[in-house]
Amino acid sequence: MFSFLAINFLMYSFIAGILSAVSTALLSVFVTLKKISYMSEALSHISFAGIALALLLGLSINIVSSIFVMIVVGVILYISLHYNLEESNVTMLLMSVSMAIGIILLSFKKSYVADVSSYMFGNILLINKADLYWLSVLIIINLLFIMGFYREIIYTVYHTSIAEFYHVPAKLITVILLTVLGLNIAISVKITGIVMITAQLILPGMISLNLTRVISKAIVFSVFVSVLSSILGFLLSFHYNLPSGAVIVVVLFSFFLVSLFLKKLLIKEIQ
Amino acid sequence: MIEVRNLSYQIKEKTILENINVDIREGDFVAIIGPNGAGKSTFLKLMLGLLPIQTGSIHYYQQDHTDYLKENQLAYLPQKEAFTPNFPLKVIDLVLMGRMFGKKLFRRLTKKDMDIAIESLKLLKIEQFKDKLINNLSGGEFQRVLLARALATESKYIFLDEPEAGIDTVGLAGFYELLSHMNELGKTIIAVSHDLDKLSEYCKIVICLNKTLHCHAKPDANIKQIIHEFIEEGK
Repeated sequence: MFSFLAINFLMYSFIAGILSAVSTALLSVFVTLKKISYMSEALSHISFAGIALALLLGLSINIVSSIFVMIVVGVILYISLHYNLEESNVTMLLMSVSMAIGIILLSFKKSYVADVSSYMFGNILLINKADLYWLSVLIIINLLFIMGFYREIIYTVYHTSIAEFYHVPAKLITVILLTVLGLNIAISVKITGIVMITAQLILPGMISLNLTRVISKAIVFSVFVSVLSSILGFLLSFHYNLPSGAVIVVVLFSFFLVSLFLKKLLIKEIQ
Repeated sequence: MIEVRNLSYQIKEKTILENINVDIREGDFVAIIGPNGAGKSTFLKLMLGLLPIQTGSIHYYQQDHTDYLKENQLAYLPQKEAFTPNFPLKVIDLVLMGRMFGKKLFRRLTKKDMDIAIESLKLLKIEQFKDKLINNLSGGEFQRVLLARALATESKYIFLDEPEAGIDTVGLAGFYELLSHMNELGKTIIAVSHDLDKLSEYCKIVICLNKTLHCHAKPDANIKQIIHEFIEEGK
């Protein structure tokens, strides 16, 4: 069953898939509770411009795209704060512009079409050993953020202005949360793809919050279900020769349906 | 002691508050009464430092209010604390929010913080809600939890913006009694309200506000009559 691990690049992408499942799932509960799924959707599209720029300049995709996404996060926060505009509108605006810039940049490259679909839907052939280090560092960053600011994050997600009144550095926490989210997306996008990374950022959180109302437990369960989906999805895609990113999303969605069913049962039991 | 001097506030050339001068002494139980749009909430938010002062000044113990607020946590029950439905937060964790003041980054809450939070819940007789999710509380229960968070700050002042919203009539009398009890324990209570009739049974001072300060007196029968007329005029 795991014979594919003998092939180097398949082994890399298998491990990368698991690592990316862990890192995105760590943030998933907060993304779900803070209702910023639009943000993950937008940031993944914004990272497209970063990827295009890296491809055109022949530089490291991870570095260029991370820096690009972080700059755009800064711009979103700056514009919405200083010009008193709705954050979601600014984000969506920059998402369209970034996609446009990305497509213009890629049109300068000859292999345009193949590259776009690779990044839109993920391509395991793009993964190399260095990505495994990147993803490991990312998991450590996520863990440090969550463990260092656990209470502050929860209060910020609960109610930003009330949290601020009670001297929780809610603005700082929001900036760090969005920056870390941006980094996760920029690095993981190669594996899952721009279109599908949002599912990986939302579904594990939604599934676990259907089953437990304790945030710490929800985070752990979210990682568990995301890794399980990643392994199952990968095996299925290898076995039936299907695109792995898409299969992982479908597996996650199946778990979501199961969690909905279980939630109903749990509620009935309580009553 | 809070001293408000020549306080005015405008939003886009519309005057919300005009030349307010008032002292609030420690141990007072103040009801701020006035018609809709009288600037009651604005006045409260200015005292809490949630809005910047445009004209005039507010001093806590002769200290400018922005300086005082940097060094001290006030307690505040907002008009509406809307949270995402089903937000998985336990009562005790919401109360502990009142203990975040002065915590440097990475500094954890201590056992003392936990003890103070539990003590606040006990004082309000809602200790049994400790591990309940806030989502499963009634409006009145949630208000009590917010009051527990206010107590956990150990602030001398408790500000409330229309606490009657979201509590039924029976619950409200109980809630005012709690406030009265807190007042006896030495807390200064400042509550904005529509509901003078009920609140006046408990408060010591009534401040009547409609852009300007109309009266500032003890809530005896005579004053109540005047205030009723004033509010009717305001409508």
